[in-house]
Amino acid sequence: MKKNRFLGNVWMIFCAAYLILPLGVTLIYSFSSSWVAIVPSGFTLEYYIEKITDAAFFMGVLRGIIAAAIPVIVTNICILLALFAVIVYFPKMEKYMQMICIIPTTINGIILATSVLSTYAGGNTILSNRILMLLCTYCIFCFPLTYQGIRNSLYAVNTKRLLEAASMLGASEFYGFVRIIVPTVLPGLVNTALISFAGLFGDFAIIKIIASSQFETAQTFLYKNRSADTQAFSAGVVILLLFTLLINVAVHKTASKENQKEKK
Amino acid sequence: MSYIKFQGIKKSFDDAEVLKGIDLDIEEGEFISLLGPSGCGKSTLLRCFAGLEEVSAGNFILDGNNITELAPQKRDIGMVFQQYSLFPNMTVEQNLAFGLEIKKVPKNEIKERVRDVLEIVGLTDKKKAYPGQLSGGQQQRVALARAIVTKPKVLLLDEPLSAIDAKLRKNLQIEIRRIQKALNITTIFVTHDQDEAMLMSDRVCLVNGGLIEQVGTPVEIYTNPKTKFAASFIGHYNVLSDIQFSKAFMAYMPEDSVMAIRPETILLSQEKKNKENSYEFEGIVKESRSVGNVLRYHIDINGVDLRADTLYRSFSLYQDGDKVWISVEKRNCLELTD
Repeated sequence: MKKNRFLGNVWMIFCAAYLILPLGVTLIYSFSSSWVAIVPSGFTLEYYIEKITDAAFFMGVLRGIIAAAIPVIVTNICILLALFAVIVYFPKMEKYMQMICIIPTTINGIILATSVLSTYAGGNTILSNRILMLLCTYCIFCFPLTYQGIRNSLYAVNTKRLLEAASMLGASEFYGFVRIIVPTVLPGLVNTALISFAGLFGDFAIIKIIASSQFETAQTFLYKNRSADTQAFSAGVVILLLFTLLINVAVHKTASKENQKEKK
Repeated sequence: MSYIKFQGIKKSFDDAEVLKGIDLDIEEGEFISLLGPSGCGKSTLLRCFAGLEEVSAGNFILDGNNITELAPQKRDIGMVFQQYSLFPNMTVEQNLAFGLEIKKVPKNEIKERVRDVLEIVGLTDKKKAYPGQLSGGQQQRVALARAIVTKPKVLLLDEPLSAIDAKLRKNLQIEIRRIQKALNITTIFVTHDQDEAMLMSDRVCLVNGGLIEQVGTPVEIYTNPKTKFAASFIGHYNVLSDIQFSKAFMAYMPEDSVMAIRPETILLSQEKKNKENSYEFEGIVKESRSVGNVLRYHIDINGVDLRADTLYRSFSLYQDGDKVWISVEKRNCLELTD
C-alpha cells in the first residue's frame, strides 16, 4: 500500500513537472534581459512594459475578449430561453434539443472552421462576413458545454416545480422564470460561461482559419510577431496565460460558492 | 349550493385513464382529505383543480364560478407542495411577499400581512433566513405561510408532511389544523396516511383507482366502510370472503359479498362467554405482536386467519399456540359488496 502511494506521488510530481516546466521556462525567459548561457544574465520588466503599452497587442486582447464574450452571451441567452420553453411547454422536445446541442462535440474545431469557410465564404450575403462567420462558429463551438451546464442547473433546482409554485401565487411562467429561476441558476450559468469564454479566448486555430487577416486577436498578433522578439513574445504569452488563470480562479470561486450553498 | 363542486372529472395521460369521473361537493371552511394509496389519482385530482393539469372532461365550480378553463394564476387557489418549492434565491419574507407583490398589494399592507402570517406560523425570527438555512419543518411552515398570505379562496395541501419525521409530523398536523380553523379557509388535503386524514379532517374522501370509494366523516368511514377497499384501507379490518366467513363462523353469507370485522371488536377470553347475538368460536393464537399500547393477535379459526387487537394488559396475554375463545357481536360484522 505504502509502495503504491510512493509510486503514485512520484508519478504525480513527474506529470506536474512535465506540465509546469514549459510554463516556468517561458516565465523566466520573459523576465530575462538576455539568456545565452545556461542561466539568464539578468532580469527585467522591459518586455512586459513593452507589451502592455503596445496598442496593437492591447487591441488584440480587447478583440479576443469581444470575440469570446459575444458568442458566450448569445449562446447562453439562446439556450436558456430554449430550455425554458422545452421544460415548461414542450418537455418531449428535450431529447431533440440535446441531440442538436451535442452534435458539435463530434466535430473537430478545424474541420468545423474549414466547413463553415467553404460553405459561406465568397458569397454576397451577410453570412459571408468573416467576423460574423467567426462569431457564429464560436457559438456552435460552445453549444455543448453551455447546454449541458444550463440544463444541469435548471434540473438541479427543479424548475418546473418552482414555476408551478410561482404560478399558484399569480405569476406568469416567464415572470417566474426571470424572478426565480434565473437568479437561482446564475452562479452555475456564470461558471459555464467563464469556462466557455476561457476556451474561446485561448483559441487560435479557428480564428486563424476564418478571420486572421481581418480580425487580429492577441493570439494571432503574437503568432505573427513570434520571430521578431522572442522575449517580448514570451511576455505576451505569460500575460495571456495570467488572464486565463484569472478566469479559472473566477470559475473556481463561483463553483465553490455554489457548493457551499448546496451544503447549507 | 356547495362552495366547491367537482363535476364528472376525468383525466387521461396518453392511454391511461387516471381519473374516471369524480364528483365531489365541498362546503366553505371545510377541511377535506383526499385519501388513497399511491397512484390512485388523488394528487392528479388536486393538480387538475389547481389548474396545473388540464382535465379531459368535467368541470370545477368554485364559489359559483366555473374555473375549469382558467389559468392557475387566475383561480385564487393557494397550494403547498410536497417538496415545499420555496424560492431558494429569496428570504422567508421575500417568499411570502412574492404573491402579494404580483397582486399589487400596497407595500405597507404587504409588510403587515407578512408579519401577521409569520406570527401565525411562529417564524417571525426567521424572516431574513433563506430556505436553505431552515429545517424541513420550518420550510413546510414557510410554504404554508406563503400559500395563505394571499388569502386564497381554497388551500390545497399535496402530501405536505410526507418528508417530515414522525414526531414533527404530529406537531405539524395539529398546527395546520389550528391555522385552518383560525382562518376558516376551505382546505383540500392529499395524503396516503389514514391516521393523518382521520386526525385532521372534517370529512375524508377515499379515492381508489381514479374513483371515489366513499366520502364521510372520519368516524363514519372508520365505523361504517361501504366497500371492501374502504374496509381494508381504513382501520386494518379483517375482510373475509363468503367462503372464509362460512368456514370460520359456520354461518351463511350471500355469494360475492365480503364481511368486514374491526380487529378491536373481537374479544378474546379463555372461556366461552355465551353472549347473545354474538359469534363465538375457539381458535389458536398463531402470532402476537406489540404495536405501541396494543397487542395484535393472529388467531387461526378453522384455517382462517383473524386479527384481533386488545389493549396491553398483563392479565390478558396469550402465548403463541394458546387456545382462546373469540367473541364478535353480530352488529360488528359488516357485510359489504365485493
